[in-house]
Amino acid sequence: MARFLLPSPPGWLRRGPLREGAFRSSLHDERTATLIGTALGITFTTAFLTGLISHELQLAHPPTWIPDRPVWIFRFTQGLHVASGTAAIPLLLAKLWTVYPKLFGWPPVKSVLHGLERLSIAVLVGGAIFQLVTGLLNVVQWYPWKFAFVPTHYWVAWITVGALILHIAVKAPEIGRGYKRPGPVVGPEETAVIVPAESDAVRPGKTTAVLPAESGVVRSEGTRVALPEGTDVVRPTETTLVRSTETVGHPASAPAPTSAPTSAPPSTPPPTSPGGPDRGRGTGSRRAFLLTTGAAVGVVTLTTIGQSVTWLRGIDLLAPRDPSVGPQGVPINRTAAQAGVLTSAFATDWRLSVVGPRPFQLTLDQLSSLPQYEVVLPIACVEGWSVNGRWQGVRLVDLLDRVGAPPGAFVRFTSLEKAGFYATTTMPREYARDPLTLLALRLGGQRLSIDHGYPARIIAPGRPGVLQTKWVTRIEVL
Amino acid sequence: MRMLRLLRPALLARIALGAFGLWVLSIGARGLLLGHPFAWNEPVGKWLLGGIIVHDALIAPVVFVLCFVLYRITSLRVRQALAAILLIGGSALIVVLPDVLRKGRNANLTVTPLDYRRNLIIVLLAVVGGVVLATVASARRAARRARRQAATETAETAQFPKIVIPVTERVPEPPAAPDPELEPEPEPEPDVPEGEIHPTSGIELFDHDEVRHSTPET
Repeated sequence: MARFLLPSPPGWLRRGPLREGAFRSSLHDERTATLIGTALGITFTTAFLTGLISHELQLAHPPTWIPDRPVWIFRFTQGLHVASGTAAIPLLLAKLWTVYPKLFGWPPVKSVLHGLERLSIAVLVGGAIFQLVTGLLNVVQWYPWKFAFVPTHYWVAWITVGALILHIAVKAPEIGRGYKRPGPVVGPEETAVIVPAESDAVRPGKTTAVLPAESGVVRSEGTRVALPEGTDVVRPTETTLVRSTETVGHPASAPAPTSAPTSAPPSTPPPTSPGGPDRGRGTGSRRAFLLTTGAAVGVVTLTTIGQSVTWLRGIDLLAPRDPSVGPQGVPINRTAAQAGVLTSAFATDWRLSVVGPRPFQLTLDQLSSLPQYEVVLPIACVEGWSVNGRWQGVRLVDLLDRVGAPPGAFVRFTSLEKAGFYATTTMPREYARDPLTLLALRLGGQRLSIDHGYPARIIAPGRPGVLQTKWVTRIEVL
Repeated sequence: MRMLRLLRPALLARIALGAFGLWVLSIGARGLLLGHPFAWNEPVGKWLLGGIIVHDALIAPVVFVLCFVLYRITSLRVRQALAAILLIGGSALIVVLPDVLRKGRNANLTVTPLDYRRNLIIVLLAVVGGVVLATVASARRAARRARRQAATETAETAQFPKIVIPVTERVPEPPAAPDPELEPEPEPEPDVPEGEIHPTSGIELFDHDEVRHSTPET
């Protein structure tokens, strides 16, 4: 047997959520799962691609396909990375709720193939939760684990996206069915189909009815419908005449599936609600559920996006950063105290060493007497926050010309930081020769604060904040 | 035959996509196992499995019990409102929880600079308020619709006083009412000539269209 069927476990184990018909909501269906899954897939793909850009930019030799213009390109991609990860949180919650009856499916494993499919979903769920949790903690610089965040978040992203692609391949038929718009389905909030009759009873009840040919199959599953006087509840047959009702759950203009003709008997399973005997009773409409999920995405996005979209700073309520809070009105990622440079940066014998074919050294005063330029460039952190700064200083290209650097040379910066992943960084020629790239001495018209890299720091367009080296002491032509 | 089935283009495309997914996944797995010190993989494995265990063994059963209980003690409208508050408010809570827990614990004061407890309360109050407003508005809309419907029905009844329907059956009150979708076919109606009295409902039977056409003449 190619599917390697496995024996079912004993039936007495089938209790609680494992019971048949334990899940009543009709929103655990293919269409809801497909629609929310699509949104979730988009956020994960966006986070993956923008994460790749950030990863590639941090390589010693970044690829040339990532442009350095516009100057806010990294600000945009990394803000999007964190925002899409944040938006994925409510989407993942909604998606997991939609499909969680499958977790309690019976038998737990039908065949070897089914077991492999469940395993791939476990990888996907584990990876997705891991990425969102580690990302969420990283943006507040909280590392309660014993591994390095950056490489682990990067490699698990590949695992998660691979499992996602595999999941799409496995579930392709279900996804295909999920995208097909079913005939209008009357939710519980909608008016029941009622027909005047000779009865004078006002009674609660529920109805099922068949609409005229152009409308397809309609189900009405309200709990209690107060009917006006002189009406009765109708159980349809092929000859029943009923009027069309408002279909709030779906647009009334929805095309009817050709497979659901008027004469469909009432026992025709609804396209959206397979399941146990009570499946769907008392369930909210799909539209309400999707709107709620959308509202959750909206709330978490709007209350956090202000950390990178500065004009929305007023509603930045839940983000770990306020782009206006920090020395000289700009946040920082690593303080001078954390970097251990409080003494060395203020040392009177500080010199900038520029190493190349014609090496030289400069004091801070000598640097300040060179031609100064002002640029407005964003400082954009990998943790998602970003803000524009008005930087003044010496153009890097002027220093490179003076040291006799060849036009295609890469440049290495060394910070006063003794330890740390970014104590030395390498800059490709495209950024090094960019007239906007400065060795900045001032920010917002004032001398750099110690936390912003006094006495001198690098600021270049389109680069991750961690590569905008602070407390620079040496520039080396490679 | 089995081999021929494998040659269907749609199936081939799915197999190719699945293989591509496995290849992408293998890049990550290889990178994790070889791309950083091997000793890091144990905590990574713990956190990966931890997420699955917390979801499968803790959150999913709790949500199941919550849904089970709410289904019995609340109406649909209240349940929808609670679900909306849980999803929107819960998402906001998850997003801000690290900020609340880490507030004041980072040497870098530009991290978590806001008053997150206050802001969380503001957001949650706004969420609850918004959901309550939306629920009230929806209930009012439904009531208006029911009234409109009732008015239409009354008018129709007045216009066509003798409307009779072929099959009428009283449905027991919920929750005892089984889902009509899944009930067996209704028993075949006795072949009663039009204009006769239906044996179970006691209603005079007509073809509906005929009733509509004939009513004005009566």
